[in-house]
Amino acid sequence: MGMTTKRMTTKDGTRGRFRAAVSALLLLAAWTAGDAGAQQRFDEGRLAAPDGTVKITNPAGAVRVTGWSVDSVRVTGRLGEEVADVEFTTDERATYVRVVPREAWRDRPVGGTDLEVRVPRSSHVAVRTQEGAIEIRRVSGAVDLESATGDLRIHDDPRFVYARSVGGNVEITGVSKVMRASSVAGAVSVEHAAGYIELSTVSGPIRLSGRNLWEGRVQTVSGDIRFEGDFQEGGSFGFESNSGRIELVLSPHIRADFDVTAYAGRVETELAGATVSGRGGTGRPGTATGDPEHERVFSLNGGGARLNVRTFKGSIRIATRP
Amino acid sequence: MNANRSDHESVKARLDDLLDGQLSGRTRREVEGHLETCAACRAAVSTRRELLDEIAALPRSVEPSRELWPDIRSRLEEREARGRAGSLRALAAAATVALLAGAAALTLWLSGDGDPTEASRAAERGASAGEDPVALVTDWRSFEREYAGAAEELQETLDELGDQLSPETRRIVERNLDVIDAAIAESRAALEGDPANRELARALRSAWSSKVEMLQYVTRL
Repeated sequence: MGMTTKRMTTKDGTRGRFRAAVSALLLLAAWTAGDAGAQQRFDEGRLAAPDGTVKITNPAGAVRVTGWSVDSVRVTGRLGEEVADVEFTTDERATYVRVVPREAWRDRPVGGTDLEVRVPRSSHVAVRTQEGAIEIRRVSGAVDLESATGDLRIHDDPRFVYARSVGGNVEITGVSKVMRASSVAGAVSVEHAAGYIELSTVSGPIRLSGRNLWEGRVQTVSGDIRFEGDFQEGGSFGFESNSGRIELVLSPHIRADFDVTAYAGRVETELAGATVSGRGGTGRPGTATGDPEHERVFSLNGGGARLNVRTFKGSIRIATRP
Repeated sequence: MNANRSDHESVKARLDDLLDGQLSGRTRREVEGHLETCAACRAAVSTRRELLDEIAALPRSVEPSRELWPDIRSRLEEREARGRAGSLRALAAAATVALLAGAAALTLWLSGDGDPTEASRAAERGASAGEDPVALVTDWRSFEREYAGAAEELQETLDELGDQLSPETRRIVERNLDVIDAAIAESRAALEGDPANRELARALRSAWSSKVEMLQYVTRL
């Protein structure tokens, strides 16, 4: 009984090792085939107008767009097994790059197909992703980006920026004449801003720095807002939150008129180095029409840009740089 | 000094009209005369003119769809009309609306249906509700109804999307809807206790606006 058992065990062991070896080979083959699909290389180019429009849709991964000094669009990347096709077409209106997922992969979170797209530097670029990040460099035309949860990063100086994400962060470094950026829950960060700007979040924080801002608004429900910089004389800007803290750090030489209200929060000012003049109110510097802890109307250095700062129950701090 | 400042403010209020070609005769000569001596106003005119030229030069492919255009155009015209009444913000606002109209069109090509939907039109109605500062206080319940109607339609559209939104996106949206609804409830409660307070009416409108804008965006994804 014991021998039989042993012999059977040995035989079973041999069969088992054989089966295991075959399984391993099959797995290797499957893995290799799968990897070949996952790693399939895409590299194509099309002639394009130097200031044309390029529209890119990639629901399966990230997109990086870089401007170059060649009148063509070139797309490179490794396609994941979730991708059925990459449609790369042109017509008289635009160049289109569209990643098409396989039917079985539709509406599933995928992220393995990252595209690198080179476009003529003056192109207008529109990109859509689901979860993949979008990055734009050295593009000087209009830029229009949307993603569900991907981060958006824009560098250099597109003329117009429109960037929106539900859960991703939005990061813009560069000068654009008109900019509108928002995220529902992510952070919005803009450096070196100038011109017309609209930034908004629901719960994410907003950081803005820049000089010569001349028009716009920054708005959040529960996120915090921090601004550092300067405004063009004659400009007009609004900062608004429901419960988030608002902090403005300004040049002591700024010429601006402030109208500040924190309904259930507190207003705090530290304005060293600036000449402050208030209208009405208690007579304390920087106070005016109502309770200075909640409402202040004042001018710095004779006035100039009009700044409205509002919060329902957050706090407001306005300070000059040391 | 005060007289100069007064002239300056008066001219600044007419720069948009100058750019629109709305000024003639003596008024135009006055504004142009001021520009010769005021570097700040010259810079303002130059910036706005440059911006409008660039917006005009955007490719036709970013023009808004026919279905969406009437709503946007009416808002644009409304803002321009207010600008002629003296607001310095008008030109920049108009320019931005033009840009955003383009952005909306770029969004439409993605969805493929090109249909702005009734909910989207309702959102446009909500967005324009309560812009009159007097009506803002006296009739805040009316503009709240507009926004609430738009939000409800958009919420239904969102529900119909089902699995088209990833679970992560849906979680983010629901969490932030809670944040906004709390802000709406607090602002409304405060306004009911102090119904003449314009700041509270603004806070309420702003929270509703955030809700409608977020839903509008998410339902387009």
